[in-house]
Amino acid sequence: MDLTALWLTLRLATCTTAILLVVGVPLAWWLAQTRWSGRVFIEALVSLPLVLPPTVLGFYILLATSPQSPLGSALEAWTGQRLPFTFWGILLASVLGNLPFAVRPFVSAFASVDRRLLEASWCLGEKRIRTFWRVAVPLAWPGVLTGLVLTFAHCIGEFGVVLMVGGNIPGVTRTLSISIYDNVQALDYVAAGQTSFWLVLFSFVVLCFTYTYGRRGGVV
Amino acid sequence: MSKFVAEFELQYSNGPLIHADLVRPAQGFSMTALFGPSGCGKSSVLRAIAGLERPQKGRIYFGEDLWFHHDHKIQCPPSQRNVGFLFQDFALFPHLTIQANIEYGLRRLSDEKRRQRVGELIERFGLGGLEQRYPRQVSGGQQQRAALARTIARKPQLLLLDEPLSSLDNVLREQMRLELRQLLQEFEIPMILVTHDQQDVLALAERMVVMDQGRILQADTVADVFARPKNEHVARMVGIENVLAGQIVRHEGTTCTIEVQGQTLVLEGTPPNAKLGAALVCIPADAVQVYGMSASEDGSTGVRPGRWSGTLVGRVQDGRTTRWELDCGFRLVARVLSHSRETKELSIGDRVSVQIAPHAVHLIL
Repeated sequence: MDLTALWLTLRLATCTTAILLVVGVPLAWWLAQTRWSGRVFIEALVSLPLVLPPTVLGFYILLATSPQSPLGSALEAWTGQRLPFTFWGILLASVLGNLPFAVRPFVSAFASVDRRLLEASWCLGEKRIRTFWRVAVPLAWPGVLTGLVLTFAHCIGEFGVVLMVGGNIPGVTRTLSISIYDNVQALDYVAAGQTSFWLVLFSFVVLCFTYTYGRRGGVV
Repeated sequence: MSKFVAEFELQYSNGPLIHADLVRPAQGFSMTALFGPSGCGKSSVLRAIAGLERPQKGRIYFGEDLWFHHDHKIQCPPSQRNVGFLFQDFALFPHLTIQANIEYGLRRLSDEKRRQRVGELIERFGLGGLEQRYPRQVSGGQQQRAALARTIARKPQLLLLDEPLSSLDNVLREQMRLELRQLLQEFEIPMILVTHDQQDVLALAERMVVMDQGRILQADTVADVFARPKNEHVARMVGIENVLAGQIVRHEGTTCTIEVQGQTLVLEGTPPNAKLGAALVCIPADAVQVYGMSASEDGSTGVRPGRWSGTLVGRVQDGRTTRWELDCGFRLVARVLSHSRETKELSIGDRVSVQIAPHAVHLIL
């Protein structure tokens, strides 16, 4: 197995999961709470990567971040960092592509928290933000954890969007699934088979965990 | 004296317009019941007082504190009203132990003070030994007491109780009806109770607001509403089984003669408000006394004044009382003790003589 690719993939998955925890939890809490009718547009936008071909998502990210685009040039001027074909580029792609895998379980976890418990907390003198930490988070935690595990697992296998934005640069953007593709292209079926086997095993274990834990928390 | 005032209008989409108009003292113990069938808007009134709903009009204030004022766009959040809310299903936090539930609102207290207050409440509410259990591991009655302790722990200035007895089983409900008022009385704050059960009102409250379809039908002391309902609707809601349309044809001193569907009733001790003309006669079923017809009283002419004759046409026993249906030319419902000597021997089809306890009759003019 390509250990450089494994290390890169683990780094990518960990960073993506961490970012989605920080960004996804408040977003999901807001989606679960709001009565705003425009909510559906945000929900549809979040779920878009589920149905969109990864190449389409990757294409647009590539366009948006290229040095010729206003966004890309502004970013480069500000940070001195170019996004396409770098780790930061595939991280951005991976975060966007995995948004639904994190946010959707988070939303259903928060939505399953009995609203009356939140009201009880408010009536006991706790403001909304504290109620979130003291009631919503502990009760939604199994669902949030499920979302994080799914995101991590899905990241490990990320292919299309990463290939579009990052290409295939060893140690920089070549993830495990890209290394499998590379191996097959080079007719190295043994290496491809090894990596594939470990990915199947990993995914299976993750799903078993998700169903066990998620069922206990009443999410899956 | 400072007052608690809630006068507002609240409407959900597709729901009836709910009116609230409540003025109560802001200090000392008092228990006001919002009474009405489910869906009448009484719970929404309670939620608006707590700040969980925002009315479309009006104002709510408690003493000096303005909680809601539509014109000034003021809506104080629930966390800042210092109101205790006892939810119908108690809403105990399932991830916290009984002790942690009771402590929940006491974060700002020092450890020592918190421990002391929780200790007192656990003892006062009979929850000793259950501190480390989770809500699902204790009985319904214990859950209720834990929820009450949690609410009281913060020393709220107003306590709101949403159907506090309806989640309990029958035996426990009877027992808590007796205990709850006593338990709450020592916390010298006003309380508002929402219930659809007249037994709860009678056992717990001294004032009541009768509501239906968002409207206030009558607001008065409990004794007054039950004895002198304002209209037929309220009379039916407070469980007066007999509401008869009649005509007052004579009114002399304390005797009043009323014609009901061709029958003449002579009432002794008539309410002072009686005057000639149409009236609704409200007779609680337990004010109707039924006697077996003795030989001398038989026949349509020989009935003693204040009594009249009828036939038993139906009987339903529920608990210690029996509900009799009588045909006296009009339908009359009587409720008698199942083992009373007068009625034990009677069976359907028997002729009986009927007397009304005079002070129980109320006339709606």
